[in-house]
Amino acid sequence: MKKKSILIATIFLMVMSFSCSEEFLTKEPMGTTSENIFYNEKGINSLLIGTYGIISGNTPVCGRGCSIQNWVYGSLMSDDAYKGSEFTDQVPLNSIERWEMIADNSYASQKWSGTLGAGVSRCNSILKILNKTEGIDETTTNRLRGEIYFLRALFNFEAWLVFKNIPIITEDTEDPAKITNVNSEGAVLKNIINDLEFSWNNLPETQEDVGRPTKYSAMALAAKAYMQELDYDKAKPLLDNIINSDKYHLMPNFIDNYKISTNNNSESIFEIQASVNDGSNGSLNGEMGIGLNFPYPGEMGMCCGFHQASQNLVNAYKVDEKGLPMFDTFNDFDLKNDQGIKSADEFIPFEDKVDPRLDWTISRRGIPYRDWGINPGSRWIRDQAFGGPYQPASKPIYYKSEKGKFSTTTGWQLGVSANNYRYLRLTHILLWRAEIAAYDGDLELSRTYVNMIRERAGNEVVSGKVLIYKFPSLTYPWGAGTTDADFMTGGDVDWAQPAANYKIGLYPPFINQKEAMRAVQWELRLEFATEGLRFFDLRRWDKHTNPDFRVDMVKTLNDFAKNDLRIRNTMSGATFNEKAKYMPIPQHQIDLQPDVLVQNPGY
Amino acid sequence: MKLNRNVMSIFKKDGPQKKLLRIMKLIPFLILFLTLQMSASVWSQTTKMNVKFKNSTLQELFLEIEKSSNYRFFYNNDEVDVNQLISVDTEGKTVGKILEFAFKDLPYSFKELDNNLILIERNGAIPNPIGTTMQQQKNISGKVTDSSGFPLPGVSIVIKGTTKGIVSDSNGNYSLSNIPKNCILQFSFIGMKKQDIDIGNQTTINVILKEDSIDLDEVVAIGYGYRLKEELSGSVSTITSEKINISNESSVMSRLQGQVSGVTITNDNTPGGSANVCIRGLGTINDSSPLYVIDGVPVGPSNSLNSNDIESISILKDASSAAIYGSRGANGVVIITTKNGRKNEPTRISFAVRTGINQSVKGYDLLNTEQYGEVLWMTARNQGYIPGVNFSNPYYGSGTKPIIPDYILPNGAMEGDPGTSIDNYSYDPFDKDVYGGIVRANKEGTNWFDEITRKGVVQEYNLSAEGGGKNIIYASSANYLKENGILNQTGFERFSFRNNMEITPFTDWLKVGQSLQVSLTKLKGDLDNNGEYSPIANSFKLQPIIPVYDIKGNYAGTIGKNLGESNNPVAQLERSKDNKNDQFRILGNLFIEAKILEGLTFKSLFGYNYNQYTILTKTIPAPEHFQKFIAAVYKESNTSFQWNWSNTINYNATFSDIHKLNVIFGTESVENNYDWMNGSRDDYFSLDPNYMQLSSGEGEQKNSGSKSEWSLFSIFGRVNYNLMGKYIFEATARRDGSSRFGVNNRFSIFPAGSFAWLISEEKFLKDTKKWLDFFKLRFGVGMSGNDRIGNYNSYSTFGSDDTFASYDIQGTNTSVVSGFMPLTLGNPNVGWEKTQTFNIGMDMKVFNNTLDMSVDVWQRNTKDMLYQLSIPVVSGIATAPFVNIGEMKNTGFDFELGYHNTAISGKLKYSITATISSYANEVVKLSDEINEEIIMGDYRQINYLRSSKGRSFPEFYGYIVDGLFQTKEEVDNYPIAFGEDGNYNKIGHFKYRDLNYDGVIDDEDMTYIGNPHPDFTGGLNIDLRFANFDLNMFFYGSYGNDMINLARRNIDYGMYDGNYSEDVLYKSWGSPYLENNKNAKLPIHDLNDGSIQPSTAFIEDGSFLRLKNLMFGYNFSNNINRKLHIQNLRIYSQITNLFTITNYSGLDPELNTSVNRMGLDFGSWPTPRQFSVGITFGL
Repeated sequence: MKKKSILIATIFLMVMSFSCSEEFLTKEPMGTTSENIFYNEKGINSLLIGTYGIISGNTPVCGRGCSIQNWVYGSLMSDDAYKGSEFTDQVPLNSIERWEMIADNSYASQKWSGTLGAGVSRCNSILKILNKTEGIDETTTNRLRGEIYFLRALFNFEAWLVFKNIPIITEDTEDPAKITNVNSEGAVLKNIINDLEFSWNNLPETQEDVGRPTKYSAMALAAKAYMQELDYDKAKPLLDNIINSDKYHLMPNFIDNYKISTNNNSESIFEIQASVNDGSNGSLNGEMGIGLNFPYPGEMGMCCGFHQASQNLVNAYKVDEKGLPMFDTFNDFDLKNDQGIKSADEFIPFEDKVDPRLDWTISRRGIPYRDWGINPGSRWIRDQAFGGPYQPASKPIYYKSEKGKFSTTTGWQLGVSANNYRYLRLTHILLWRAEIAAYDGDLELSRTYVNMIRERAGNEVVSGKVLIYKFPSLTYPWGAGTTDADFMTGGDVDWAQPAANYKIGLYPPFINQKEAMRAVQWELRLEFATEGLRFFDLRRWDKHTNPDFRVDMVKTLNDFAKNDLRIRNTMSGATFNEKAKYMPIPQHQIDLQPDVLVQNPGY
Repeated sequence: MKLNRNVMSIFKKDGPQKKLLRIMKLIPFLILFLTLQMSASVWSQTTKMNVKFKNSTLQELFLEIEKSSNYRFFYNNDEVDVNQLISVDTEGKTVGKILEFAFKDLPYSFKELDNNLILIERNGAIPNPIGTTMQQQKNISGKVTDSSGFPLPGVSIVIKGTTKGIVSDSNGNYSLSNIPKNCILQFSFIGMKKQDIDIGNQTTINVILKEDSIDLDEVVAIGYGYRLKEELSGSVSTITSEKINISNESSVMSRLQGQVSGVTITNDNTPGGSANVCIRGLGTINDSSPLYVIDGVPVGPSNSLNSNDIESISILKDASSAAIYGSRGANGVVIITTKNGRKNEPTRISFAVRTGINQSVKGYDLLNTEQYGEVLWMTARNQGYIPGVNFSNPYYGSGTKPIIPDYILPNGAMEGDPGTSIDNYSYDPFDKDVYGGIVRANKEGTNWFDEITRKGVVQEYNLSAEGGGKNIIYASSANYLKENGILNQTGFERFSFRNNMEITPFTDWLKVGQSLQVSLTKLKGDLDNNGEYSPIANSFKLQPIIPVYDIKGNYAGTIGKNLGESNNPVAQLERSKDNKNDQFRILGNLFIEAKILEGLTFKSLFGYNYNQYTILTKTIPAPEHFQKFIAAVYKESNTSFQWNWSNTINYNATFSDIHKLNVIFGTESVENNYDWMNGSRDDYFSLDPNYMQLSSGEGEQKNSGSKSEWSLFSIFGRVNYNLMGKYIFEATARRDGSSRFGVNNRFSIFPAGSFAWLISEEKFLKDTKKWLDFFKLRFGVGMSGNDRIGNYNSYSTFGSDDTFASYDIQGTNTSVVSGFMPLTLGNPNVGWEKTQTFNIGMDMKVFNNTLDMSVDVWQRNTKDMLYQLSIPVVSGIATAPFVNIGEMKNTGFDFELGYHNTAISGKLKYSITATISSYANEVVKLSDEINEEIIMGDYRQINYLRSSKGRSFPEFYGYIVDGLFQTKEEVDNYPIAFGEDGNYNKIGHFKYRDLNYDGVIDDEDMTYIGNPHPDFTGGLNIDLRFANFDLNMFFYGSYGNDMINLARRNIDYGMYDGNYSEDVLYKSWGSPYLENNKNAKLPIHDLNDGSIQPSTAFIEDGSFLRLKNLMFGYNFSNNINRKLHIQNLRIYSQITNLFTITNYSGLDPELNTSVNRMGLDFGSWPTPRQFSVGITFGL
């Protein structure tokens, strides 16, 4: 009896354990979701926000190589700036600074992944979902589509800028892996413009959310794209449209374009929104791509001393008696610098006349550095012999008074702040229009716009004449004062005086197109120095066939490298040549798409 | 001989289960004899039973008694006729009474021995088989003991060639009368080696029987069952508690290193550290760790398991043995069985204490402050600076020679500088902007490695009790272990408790049991091992001029220029002292086993594993460090629960004495849930550890969490057929269904078969019997699987993310709107990874069982290897799905050899065993793209490891260095590096080989330059016993594995202003100390990144031989034990890692890394040398 009951129990148990399988074996992921919840306006917008989230270049596959500020490809590869920091940090940048990158350079690979991988593919996946979505009204659909197209154009533009030969992938592409990067002349630009044309036809003139692009953002980006190819005819009407819309006005001061308090101002056409202390882990919604590009001294608590301004750039701010640039002679000799001089030893800053934008753009010894104190020179530089005497390019720096509130309090890249990068602003529009005017021979229009910029540049200069010339550790960090407040009022500083001998003059009427073009080109450098444009500007001006307009990029950069030996030997033996105008297509991607992707010439 | 066989035949009827209980534990069994000396002859009075037999045979009576009690009968067939008919009818009588009753008319008497044996003897004289011609008869007596001097009762002593004999009594004594002169006495006892002794003229012969150390009767766990080792047809290695306890690592698997063949183990040397275990090579590019099963519960041992609790470990190495675990067996199965008591065994209590000191080996040869200055100047010259003219250093000045300053803060100040006055000192750990430390230069140089290492005390206490009654067996233990690491403030602590119990409420058919282990383990301090920012890495990345403390006793660090960016490792360790990882674990099972019919058993087992661990990490501000961390608390809680329920039916039968059949059929369900959450907060106004909690603090409260699940349902079966004890066939199949795969490929079947041939049992080998004791051939083939690809590979998912999918679209500066992004691209069609194994093995014992050997040659082919195919980025940035595409091949052999013998007339017992494990790994295919490569081993944007078709997974990849440029001519005539415009080539730099002869050194010239896989690993165990002393030496070695010492990448080539090796100063090209640059060991020290490309210059031979263990013990004699009223007492001392022979230049050649960093040493934790003493005693 007993045994029978066991037998029955056994059979029962066996049968029971057989019967539970299919449901038991279905385990769905938790904390994530599948595509079908996005088929509505809210869903599309969520995906769109997710895509804005990587616009700064901060994507899951990127480090600094993705930064939309292009400080690597646009700035440290040019005569504006150095890699900075020290030799052994971020080694792949050494070869970029010396224009010796090879096909598996990890920085270039990041830019490719961030723009074409994360960016374009996210846009295409939203478009696919949008195409399957019903029940959104047409205006809304078009606005959403306009924003998506704008973003896709922006990602494509960024990739095109750096690599030139990129695959054209749209939402209709069946297998993106099969699309080659070899295109007919102008096809990539045309693809970018197509997207933007839809955007400017469908986006509103203003948006409720300041972070979203408007009709004019699309026009401005299109103009920027045309400018790369010197297609002035196509750019001109777009630029005029923006200027004539009267939506945008110059801010009173140059520095307003680099301050957190004046984010999203009247001059802005499209800004990359940065946010910190927003509850995310590590303030990664700030501009992490430039996270290394802040002063290194421990007393400021930032990192890591990259992207130091070049001596060549500093020299470019030299002005003559009239406050006008010294186009031909600016780099004949260096403005006095403290290279090799200890902070505790005496150094008297130069008294030469300089454009006031200099000390907003770079930071040098003996000049107050925003509200951080007097730059004591050597002590604040990570490795002077390697990276020169200047601090990391100072436009993105936040004010000490904003520390902790608008600067990140987590992680170690404590230079990251809520300072927006003004990707497109009225100043760009005016100077591009001035460039076109110079080319067209409309010299007066050209002069008007350039002088508008110059006039504004003189409105506010760095104030505080430093009266001491030695900075032993005792004076740390600000002169002889004892409190923060002393800095702006007391210490060994004459606050009533400008920090240096600033002068900026307006151009008299240009004599000819050549002179006009030279003035515009110079102004573009001074106004946007270290903002990641210089290298690309040199490259496009090199395309001019008219010698009056042409800037010889190879010569310019090689002269820069040669003369740079006056202060450091980092560029010793480095030569710029044609191939380095574009970054190599990442070797790893070519390996993954054999016979599809083709390497750029020279690599 | 005959006598013995009869005993065996009775045993065999009980099946393997009972056999396990009785035979597996030979040593405790012997101890048991001793225990019972004082309580002899009480048993038959306690075991009472009802017996009703009418005209049954005597054998039937014996069987019945055996079945209902623990008694076994013991007799000589020639003396006792078990077919004699008897009638017995008793109720509630003891066995003694029953036998008295049964024997009342028979010429037999019985004697109870203490070991549950009942000896049946014929009364009166035994007929003499040799006849009446015997003359010259004599008497002989003596005592039989085992090697440790314990008397052996029940030993059969037979005059060879006759059936005349006797059995030793409870004191091991025997005496034989009227035996022929010059005869040979044969002593035999189960589990001992037979011994023949020519009596000669002796009248007293004391005999020491030796244990059969590779016990043919050993019972081996094989997954849902047991098998006699001699009947195994698959490839299974086993290790028993004695060998497990030779080593003293806290993790069980670490102790197996070198002890079993076919298993490659590398230890993490941190306190409580784990081990990397791979069985027969790397079967896959995915997780290739084996499946662990602890007492029927499929979970890993981790460091929570108390090694003293382990009875044995079986390692199922080939598919024919592992296929019973189907989809999880591809990389082998480790079955851990814990100890339990035995029936009718009085409680044995034993207590063990061990204590010792962990001590570190020597650090790297680094520079002192003066030498460091010299290197700075040398480097400057090499870079083209002219010291005295255009070179300066903030500390060593700007002269033609470095001058060591008195202070490093203020920058390079000398004594008397007003800045060095203590009045200027300011230090506030909370205000990150105020750092006014005054730091004196350490002119001699700080030896950072010495500063962070210490002698760590280790202690362990173990208390255990085991025993059994008529209906119950049990074992309980409690263990406490505390290990202080060799780095300051690091440590491991374990509290564990175990109880195993089996109850047989109705003796004939039902058994219920349970096993429960509760443990709490605590890891403490900064245990980062082999990380770039670990305390050890920081110890060589910090300059010698920096002292540990500033003038006021606060930590000094890298604030200040050109001091690098490493954390002061002394501070780092001190500040991490509250960091912990506490793990609470409950592991156990409940089972019920019922005998349904004769030979048919049903078992249902429910296993569970609950794991809760909490990680606490505090960030303490470091004002002296260039990065000023904000005080923060991070806490993470992980909970996992897994249950498994298996139901098996087992059928065991023997037909016509020669067909033995064992069939098992079963089902199993497993479900696993994992849940984690974390919280963090920063900004604390006080660093008081009591204050620093998640609920306090000024910063925002942050949290996160997630959950995952998987499940598995399986049906499995195994048939084992043994013909005449010579031919063994086994077939296994398991069908698994898993939640980890899409509906299309959810189920799969894993079959296997094996065959074993015991050739030594064949008649045709009769002639070799003199020397060949045992010889078996094994053949196995089978398939098993691997499902470890994460839980949700079949789903495409989107997710929100607070950084990569969020944007401040409204321009608020401090808030974001969150959005969604694609997370994973799913593949619903993916299926199992399948590994086929072919195995040919041989087990052999020769020369009277003194020499034993086991060899296996195997090949494993992994098909449908799950590979996360790299997709081009244009296809989207999301986690790529795994696809079944790759193939991998492993071939190798396992070798075990043992020699066991005695010398000095049995006084010295020795045993030498050696194991060798060898594998060769080859990627046969990764994807359809023939050039597909897996690139990994990233360190600072440079990848050192790679694998592709035809290569091992992974190998080192880089340039080949053909020495250094010595002359300008050489440079001029050499292919350009790197790239067409490169200018790396110069005198003193590396000559990288132009592998493709295209005149340019570029990444096309990189190739495979080294293999981190060892040619073989092996262990050598030497065990000596002399009188009461014993000595154990255990060597472990690895041969033929290459390593890349990335610590040298720092100290030989320079990184972040860290310290340098002595080689830089004395042996780099162009060093003023080097007489001839041709002897340069390093390239010119100019910090050129061309020299740090991955190349053969970094490859080192990682082979080593280590005396892993040296143990010397003393067992107190029985006389002393008796006086102390204890059973046994042993004291020992032990040294681990006494020496290591290696050419490797790092701290330790034994490197425990994940596969994607295989062979890359970033400054790993060295194996500590441990001196310890211990005492164990039993009550």
